[in-house]
Amino acid sequence: QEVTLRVHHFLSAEAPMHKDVLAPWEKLIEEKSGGRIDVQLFPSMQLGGKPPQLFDQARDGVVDISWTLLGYTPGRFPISEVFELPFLSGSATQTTAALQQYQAKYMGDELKDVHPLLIHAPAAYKVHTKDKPVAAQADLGGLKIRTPSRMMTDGLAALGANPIGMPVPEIAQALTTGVIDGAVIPWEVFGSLRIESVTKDHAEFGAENGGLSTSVMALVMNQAKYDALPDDLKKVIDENTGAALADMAGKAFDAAEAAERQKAIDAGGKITVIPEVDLAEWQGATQPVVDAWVKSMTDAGHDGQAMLDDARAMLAAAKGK
Amino acid sequence: MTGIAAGLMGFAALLALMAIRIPIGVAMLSVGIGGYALFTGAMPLLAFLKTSTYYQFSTYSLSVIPLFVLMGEFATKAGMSRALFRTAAAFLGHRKGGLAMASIGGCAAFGAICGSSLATAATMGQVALPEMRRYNYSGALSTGSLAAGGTLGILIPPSVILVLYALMAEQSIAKMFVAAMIPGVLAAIGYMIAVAIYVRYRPEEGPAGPRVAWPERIAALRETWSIILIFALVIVGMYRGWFTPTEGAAVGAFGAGVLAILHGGMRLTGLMACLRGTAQTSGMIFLIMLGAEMFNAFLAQTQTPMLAAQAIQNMGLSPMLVLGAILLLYLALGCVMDSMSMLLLTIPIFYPIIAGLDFGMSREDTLIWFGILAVVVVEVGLITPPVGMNVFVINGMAKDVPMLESFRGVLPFLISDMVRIVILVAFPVITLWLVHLLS
Amino acid sequence: MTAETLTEHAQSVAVPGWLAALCRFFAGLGGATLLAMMLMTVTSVILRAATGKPIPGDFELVEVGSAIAIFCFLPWCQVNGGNVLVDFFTQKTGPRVNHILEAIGDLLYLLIAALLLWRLCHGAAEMRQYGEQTMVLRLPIWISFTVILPAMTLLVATCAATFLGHIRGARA
Ligand code: NA
Ligand code: NA
Repeated sequence: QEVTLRVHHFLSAEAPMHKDVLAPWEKLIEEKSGGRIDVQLFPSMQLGGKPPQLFDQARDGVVDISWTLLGYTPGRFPISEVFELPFLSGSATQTTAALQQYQAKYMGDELKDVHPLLIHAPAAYKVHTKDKPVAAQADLGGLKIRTPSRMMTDGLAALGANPIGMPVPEIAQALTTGVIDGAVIPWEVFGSLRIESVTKDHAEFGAENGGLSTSVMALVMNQAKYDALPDDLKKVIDENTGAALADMAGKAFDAAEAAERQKAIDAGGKITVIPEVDLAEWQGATQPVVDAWVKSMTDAGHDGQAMLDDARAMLAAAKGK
Repeated sequence: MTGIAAGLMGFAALLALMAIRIPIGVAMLSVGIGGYALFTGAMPLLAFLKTSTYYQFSTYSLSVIPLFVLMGEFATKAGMSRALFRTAAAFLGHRKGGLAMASIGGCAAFGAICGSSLATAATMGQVALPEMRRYNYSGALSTGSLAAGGTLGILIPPSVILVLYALMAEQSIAKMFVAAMIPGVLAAIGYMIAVAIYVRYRPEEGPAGPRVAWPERIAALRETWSIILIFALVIVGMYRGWFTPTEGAAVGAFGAGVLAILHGGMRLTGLMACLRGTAQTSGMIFLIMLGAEMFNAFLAQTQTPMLAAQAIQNMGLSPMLVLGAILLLYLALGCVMDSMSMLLLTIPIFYPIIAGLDFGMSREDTLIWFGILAVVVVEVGLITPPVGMNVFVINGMAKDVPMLESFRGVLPFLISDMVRIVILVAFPVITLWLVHLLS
Repeated sequence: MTAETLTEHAQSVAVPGWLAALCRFFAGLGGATLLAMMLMTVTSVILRAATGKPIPGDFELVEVGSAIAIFCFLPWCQVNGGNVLVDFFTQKTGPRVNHILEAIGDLLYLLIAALLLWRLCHGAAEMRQYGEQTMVLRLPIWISFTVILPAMTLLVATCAATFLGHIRGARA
């Protein structure tokens, strides 16, 4: 081989992202480069450090490529946080498609220190609770809910819940022990947390209604490493990342979402879909959080309202497909 | 240089540095940093180090360690060891070797609030050693039983070592604690049987003391309720649904602190002493953890652990043979090395190997079972010559007993350990039964 | 548990009084942080059980507190020779040789601590520049470095002092 690309992330080798996206991508790149690129996957933070360090590990060349959630360093990627806002997400495929456009238009500055390979999202988050089913906004009142992001910390508070911040691996135990009453996560995470026997009640908001929230995920490459590639290998990377990879990732996450949802139903889980007519109330309650994001963007010298409207329009277009 | 060669050279350098009195954490950091720089480059290393120390120390799940250490410090200050030994002695003291059995019982009970083996041996030693010497127990039996009893501190939850294993092997801390309970009780019983057999052949080494009447026994028992309460609160609360391990440790430390104020008469100077004791122990642990993180990051770059795991799987050895080889290696390492550094160094390499073998049970069960076995074997290293930390501590307290005498006294307990390890390997159900029952 | 009973530790050396006092102060500071963390967690557990409203951001407070505490503990552990070492192979080499070997260990630790301090300064500056904060309370993370960086500086000074102490010990 001419080039070795070390890919680092925090999930286990069993996670859909590793098994169904990164592993096939490894094969694809090795094949298309005629064996001149050797991709090595390092799951579970094997190369050292903690998840919040992953983005900088790729930026600084500690690793060649890393995959992480941009929300793991709260405050650092405020422009990408628009998809963390309440009711601005869809299925993995839809949000990921919208993100491709949003990234191209707005995220260049936040990602300027790296060579982005894929910006994407999982399926919209649902509310999974242990003892108290959530059928209306009032049901969330006083519940201790694990928050997935900075935006949803405010979103959950606006909905009347007590947002609790904790690392993902703590969720399973925190649920069993009553440290939290529920968590805002996608179904797909059930695969590693195995909590379908603990949380029996699941509130869905329907992808077409703009699911509750999501997180922005990023597969990023060290810029110098990319620049040093010969042109034909650059081409191999270019042709097999971005929109091409987005499609694969979106499908993998949606497939995992459906599979885990079915497993939870088989385990006796009850799903409540919040009716569309009720959603106005939910959205009204969380409007201040959306306004605050727009204001903070405007204060930072961007056109916050245009960014929000664009994100909505891009998502709507993706849903229309 | 190939990855494997770099990895092996790293190991050799690490062992060489450790052999010449370089502190274990510093040795791991030196080789880790040096190897990383040589194998991956200086710039990536410098970038890696910008925040890795901060994030290593600010991990929520690791904060359980200083809190359990603080709990042990408070428990010592509260004079819990005295109450526990008195109670055990009231019930067992009239038998031949009874005070040695009481020391073991006291150690087991103290281990239930203290997460460290050395602290258990040292605090029980302060109370039990003078008593045994007063009743003419031999130096060998009195120091041997205390050194061995101290190892129960690691096995009986809460235990810092079990926490470390759980985090490295991605297992639940609460489940590891529950899994250790029966093996821990078995260890205490096995040690008591060892004492009984020992005094049968050498009755002059552990003469019977006076019999204590029942009313006094009940009175002694009453003094220990607070300790039972704290243990129950921490373990049951952690397993049954009141708090996370970190919160359990905080609650336990708080409870032990209250007892230290009420029963132990702890005042501000005593509190500061406890905090400084915690600082020293936690500082030592986290320096080793930082070193292990750096060394393991270097090893992962060389792909040594993955290639080693693959090689072992390809050899097609029987799972039991691999397990036996790993446990024997631990016994050998334990003769010269500190138990915690041993686990931190080896678990990231061994647990994927073990997880990849088929022992006829689920991956989770296999890893819990292996964790308990590893901790049991590592704990044996605390009393094996030539470097047996517990033996050193207790022997240092008994100024009139020669070191060789203490190691002779430990021998029956070592035999008991070997028997127990064979039983735990042969019957995984002993370790896993309670875990399955409670989940 | 007195220091002289533990053989797997460094031989003790004298360091300047002010340095020992500073290490002691930082150990106390870290201990007080740990104590505060403990009390905050217990309060949060009680509030959660009683009212269903734990202290907001209790998890992230534990993370920040634990980092501060542990950085403060390191100099104290070093000044007391509390970092474990293997003494099996050097039991017969005599105090002079052992002082030299321990001086090498302290020199290594000194270099590593200085390297970590240098890198942490950059890490803290970046965290400040990027405005990284905790998720619930939105506390800026760099603020904890106002304690962490002095603690690391003290560790560097302590390593230098124990290194010189071992050199003196080897000459004596
Ligand atoms: Na214990
Ligand atoms: Na040993």
